[in-house]
Amino acid sequence: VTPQRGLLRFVLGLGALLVGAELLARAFEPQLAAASDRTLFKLELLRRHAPTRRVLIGTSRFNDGLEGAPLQAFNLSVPSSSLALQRWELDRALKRQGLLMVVLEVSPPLLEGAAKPPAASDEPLALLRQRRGLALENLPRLAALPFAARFDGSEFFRTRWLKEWWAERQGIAPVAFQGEPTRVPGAQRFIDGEQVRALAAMAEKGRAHGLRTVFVAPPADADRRAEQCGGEFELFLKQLSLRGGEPVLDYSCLELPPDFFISNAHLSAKGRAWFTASLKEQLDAVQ
Amino acid sequence: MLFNSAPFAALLAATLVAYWSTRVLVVRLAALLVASFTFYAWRHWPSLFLLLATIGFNYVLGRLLESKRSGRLLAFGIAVNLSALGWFKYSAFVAANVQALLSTLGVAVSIPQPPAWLPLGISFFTFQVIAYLVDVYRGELKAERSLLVFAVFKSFFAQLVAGPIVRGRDMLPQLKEVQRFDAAAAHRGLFLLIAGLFLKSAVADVIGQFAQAAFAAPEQQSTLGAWLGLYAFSAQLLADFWGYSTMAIGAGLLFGLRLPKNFDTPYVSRRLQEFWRRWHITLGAWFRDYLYLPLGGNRRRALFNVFFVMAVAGLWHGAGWTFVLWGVLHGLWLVLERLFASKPTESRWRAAVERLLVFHGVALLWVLFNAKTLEIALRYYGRLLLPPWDFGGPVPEVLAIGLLGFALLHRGLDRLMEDGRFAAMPLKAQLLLCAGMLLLLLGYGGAKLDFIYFVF
Repeated sequence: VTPQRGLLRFVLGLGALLVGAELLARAFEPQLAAASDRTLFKLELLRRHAPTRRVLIGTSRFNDGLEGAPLQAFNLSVPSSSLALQRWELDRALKRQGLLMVVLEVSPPLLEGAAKPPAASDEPLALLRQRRGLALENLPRLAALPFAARFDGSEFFRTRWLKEWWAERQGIAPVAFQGEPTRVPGAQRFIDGEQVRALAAMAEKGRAHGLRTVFVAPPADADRRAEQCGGEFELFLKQLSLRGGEPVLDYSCLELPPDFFISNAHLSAKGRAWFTASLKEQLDAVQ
Repeated sequence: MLFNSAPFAALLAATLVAYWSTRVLVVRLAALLVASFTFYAWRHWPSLFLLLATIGFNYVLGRLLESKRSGRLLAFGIAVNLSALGWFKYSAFVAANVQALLSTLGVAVSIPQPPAWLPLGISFFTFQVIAYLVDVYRGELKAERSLLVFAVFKSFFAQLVAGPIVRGRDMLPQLKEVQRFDAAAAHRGLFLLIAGLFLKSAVADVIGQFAQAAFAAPEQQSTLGAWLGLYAFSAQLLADFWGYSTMAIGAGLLFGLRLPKNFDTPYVSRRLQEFWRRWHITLGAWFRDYLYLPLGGNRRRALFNVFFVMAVAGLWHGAGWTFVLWGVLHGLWLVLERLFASKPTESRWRAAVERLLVFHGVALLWVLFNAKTLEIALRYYGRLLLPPWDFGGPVPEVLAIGLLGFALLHRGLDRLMEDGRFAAMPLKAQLLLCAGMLLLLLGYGGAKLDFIYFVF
């Protein structure tokens, strides 16, 4: 091959490669978009999933702490979520048929979170618009989409350390812990607050769609408990109970065994098994 | 204008069309000059006047030096060029230190605030033109007669702001010749552009985010986190600067111009001296030819010369005590190496250990290079080397894959960049490699950070 021919073939090949990639990206743009963002990915899984009775929307506390299937729920939670993102997810989840209940996490990290809902890109090329979907760590999501029916949403984005993975492989021993969450009573007087109003509005929106909303404050380890219990957060939950008019289940002050946690806010496989079972009882009772 | 931006791609394409659509040398050079000035003025147009002034001044001085070989004239020329560099790059540093010294002595003086703007690439084009003046003075190079050729030599956009530092004797003859389109060179140039962009956007910018986070809050790092941050910065710095140089060489080849190689897998060096023959090669050669050898080289005061050159190299990299200390420590290391190091042996084990030691020594000194202040550097060293040692905690997947991938593959990529290597591969392999790099570029290359060496 002469240098001229070699260059021509390379340039043409490169051009064809780029055009082909752009055409493919356009053909599979919704899938690429889903792969590009954790929230979009979970929503796409939910869209492809068989009808589900409940959705769980929260941060990594819900994502690590709850199995979807035993709760007859789909876990839409994503790490580092925020109130704004939770509301955005709820708006999209409400369109699902067969949905009866929305379980919303209420925790200080969620209330303080700054994550924004994913914004559509205005780049002219699909390859550029959906470029994050091509990142190596995101590509497996593309492979997961055709099998959406097998997932309940809690399989992805866990703080899964090697130890936890091994523990799950070995099977979780029956958990003897008997604690129950507090059903938070309404506050004696109403103090208006932006976050309370936002959560109450979500409950209202759920009611308009014929859904029951349950607010859940997830468990926390000893350090977080010391910060939260009896403080502003507890007051906040009481306000929410009064204003939202829906059940508020508080697990955050429960003294769970230390081996229920893999970090100060994230439940271990053992903790997850217990929290899921306990919440199932509570939700069944509410419904 | 950044190499990793759409305006640069448009400028490069337009200049290539203008350049190759004519065989008239003046028109070609004019196209290169317009492109170079556009490139330089894009970020901060007033800097263009500085560039124009140095072109005019050094062009005239070169002609004068040729007709009258005067040491004083050369000294004057070097002084004027270094004054511009000193004013823009070092005046704030000097002023701050003088002020601090005076206030320590109880003298209350308010020193006027020097300029906040550092013209891009001033360290590079100053060194390039000093080399030109010295070569003309020594009679090793004829002063350039054509102002247009000289202006393009002084401002060629591919290497203007971060090197490679080209020599007049290599570059001027190429510019004065009507280049014929060389398909093999263009083929390699295209690959180098893609590879350089990949190194910058898909490696340096991605890994660099972890380094940035680690250096922003050293005290919050575990021992493992601090070491990962250091490895990340070491990889980022190499990928960033190597990526820029690679793109510069690639862009040059598209115009039929050959720029010198600037990196040769420096992290596999077995001696620090070898490291400096592989890292920023054109700067090392500049210091050797225009400072080390004039000081006496190996013939007299060799150890002092090595030490002094490295201290100056430290200061060249930045106006700050961290850079000075970085250079001084490199100088000390080189001196000790000359005094005590035995000759490298053939033993593979020993070679591996030496490489590991030299890499970690260089990496540890990068802390000074990256830390904004000595205090931050000391805090970072504390987390690296002092208790409490904590090697637990998660390792981000992207960082682990990025570091491992870069460590394992960068030598192979370097070999592929050699003349003719890439084009000799089957077309399918060429496209597969480019597809892989483009995939990573698209997936990760959104940060569009400045090249680190732009500010030197």
